[in-house]
Amino acid sequence: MDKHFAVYLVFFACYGGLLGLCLAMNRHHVQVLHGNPGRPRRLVLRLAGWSLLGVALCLSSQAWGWAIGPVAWFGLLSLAALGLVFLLPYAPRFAAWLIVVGPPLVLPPFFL
Amino acid sequence: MKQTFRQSMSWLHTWGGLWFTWILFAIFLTGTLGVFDDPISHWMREKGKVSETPQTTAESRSRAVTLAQDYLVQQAPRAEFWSIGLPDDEEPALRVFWREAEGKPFQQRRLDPLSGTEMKPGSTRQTEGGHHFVHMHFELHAGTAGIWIVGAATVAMLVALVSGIVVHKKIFTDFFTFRPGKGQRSWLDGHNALGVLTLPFLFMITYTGLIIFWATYMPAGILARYQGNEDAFFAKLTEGPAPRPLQRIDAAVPDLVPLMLRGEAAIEREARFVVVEHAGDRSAAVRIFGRFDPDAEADSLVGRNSGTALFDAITGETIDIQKPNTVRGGNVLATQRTMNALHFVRFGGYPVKWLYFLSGMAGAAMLATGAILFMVKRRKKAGDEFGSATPRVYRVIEAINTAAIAGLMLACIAYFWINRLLPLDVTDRATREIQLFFAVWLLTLAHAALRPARQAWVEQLAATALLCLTLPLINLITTGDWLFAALVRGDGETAGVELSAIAFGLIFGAALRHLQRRSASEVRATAAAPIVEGA
Amino acid sequence: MNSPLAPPHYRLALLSRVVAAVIGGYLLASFSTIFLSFILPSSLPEAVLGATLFSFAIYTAAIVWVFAARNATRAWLGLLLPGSSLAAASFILYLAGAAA
Repeated sequence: MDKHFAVYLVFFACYGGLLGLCLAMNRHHVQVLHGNPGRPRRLVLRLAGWSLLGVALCLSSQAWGWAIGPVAWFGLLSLAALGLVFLLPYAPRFAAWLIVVGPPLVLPPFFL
Repeated sequence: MKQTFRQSMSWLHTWGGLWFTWILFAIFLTGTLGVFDDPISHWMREKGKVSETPQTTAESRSRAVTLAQDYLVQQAPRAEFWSIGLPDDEEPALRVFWREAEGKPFQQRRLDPLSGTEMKPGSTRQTEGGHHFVHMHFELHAGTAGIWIVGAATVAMLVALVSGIVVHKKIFTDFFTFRPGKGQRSWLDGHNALGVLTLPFLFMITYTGLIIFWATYMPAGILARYQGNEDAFFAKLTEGPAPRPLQRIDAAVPDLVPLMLRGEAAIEREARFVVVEHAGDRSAAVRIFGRFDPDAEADSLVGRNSGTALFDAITGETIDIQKPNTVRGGNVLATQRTMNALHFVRFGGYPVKWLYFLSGMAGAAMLATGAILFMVKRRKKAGDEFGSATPRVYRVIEAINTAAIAGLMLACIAYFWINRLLPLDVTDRATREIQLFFAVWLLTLAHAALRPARQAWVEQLAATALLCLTLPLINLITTGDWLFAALVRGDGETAGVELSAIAFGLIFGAALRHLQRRSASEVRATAAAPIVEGA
Repeated sequence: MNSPLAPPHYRLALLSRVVAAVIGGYLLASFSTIFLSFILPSSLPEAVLGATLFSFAIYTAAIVWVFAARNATRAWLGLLLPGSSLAAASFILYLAGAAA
């Protein structure tokens, strides 16, 4: 896998995972989606969140091997987390939409 | 001090932390800049304008080694070691290093690789380049004392990380929490977020940093089990050849060229360094170091050396050969090498370097917010930790905060400006650049002492932003090379340095606007801020 | 928080803790290194290296202990007791090794 493409995939997988875990928390669900999450929704969000983080780790290790992969994963995880946390108070809806619009927007350069 | 564990850790985090925060910020900032050591040096030495790097041939290398040997025999026929650095892309000169004996000063010269004469200053832009930041990072340019100070600060960092986690009661509930615009609350949120979200990196970088100098910091094992004989210990540990003691019998060093060529054949790499240990003595040995090959990157964290060949200088006998990218030694040594590789980020190419850069900057920001939070809290409600002297101590801490954070950042960007503005023919130009770096930093301390706190921050940040944003301009004026030319010729290193400077300039500009706006609404900002776990 | 004014005995206790943390902690870490180098099941150079790599975690823990302890005396005891045991054990192992 091309390393830059791997960064792109792993980053957005981490961001998506973190977003899921974040929205599973009452205060942030209210902050972004204006309403309390029910118990089933919280479960689904947490499951999706952790799964995406796991997927990110596998992708990272596939691209860089199991020695460097986890290191890159931690790095991209921190980066995604910092991005999410500092975006959230200023633009909560955009922070959520980013997982939908971000990947397709950043994709074209890889095909040029 | 009857307190709970959390309370005592809170005290430790604040007071154990504060005194080391300034050094730690310097360590983090310069270390992070040091990730891009080579690109910065590339920019500073104007390497972008060199289009063709001359290929070295066995002949050119042999000629260079002969010239270097002639020079060294004249300067120091008997020496603890001679080291010859062959020219390469980053350094076109032939370099020689030597030290006559332990305790005598370490010497180095740059020679013309074609004539063997010492190069005159003024022909190229002499500079330590990005390596200045690396030296700042691990020894504060202060030799052994500096290494110990950095070591102490690193242990303090570990203690602060542990105590910080203990204190942060709501580490999980507040994981994604950042509340801007609420004064002290926001500073604490920011400090917590920057710390928690990069916690794996922070623990890793701090611990791996500490163990790099493990033998210096904790010699107890070697003292107790090897009677302090480091040479013997390392030879056993690395499964290398036994150390060769000085015989004190004179013997001239024979021609190095055949040995260099034999070494190159043995390790299948071009030579980069030729080192003679115990030059002029019968115990002399010649060690050939291979050239680093970035394309031979193994996808592992261990086992990336460039090959060495060791010969008895007098008899020519082969003592030891280690092929490139092979590993020696057991699992514990492999672990230590992995930790080194993790710290020096010798893997993963540019993507991983950028991850380290961003994480390192986040770490530096975490330290800065901690230091700032200390004063923000006490500006709101002064304590009396120092009795009647407390207001004066606070003033001192304010000034040091400003100089240690804003002032250091100003000094760092000023270093780039100094590199372009200092005339080429200044003697000891590289040292002069670094002295001026410290001079600027000292001036920021004086400035912070003389100006009121807010003004000092604003003025220093403004100066930093200005120097950052106009860096491409001063490059254009002094060297005629500019950012777009660099981009067009695909010079990622030069472009990267200048674009990053612009990015930092924009960030500082935004911080300035924030500061101005805040001071305008200062009166309103006295709204009660929910307090505060921790000191 | 703790006492804002600093009576002399408080300052002395604090100084005592700082000395305990910096010097006492370092000595404890050193003795652990030596002890572990006898205990670890690798070759001697690897045992020395492994013991030393771990010692920095011990130093950190020792410093945390010193400031968490209820008073300066307990802080010192918490270092001296394990420290002297490790030193004694190391000496015994050394003699045993020398005799073998």
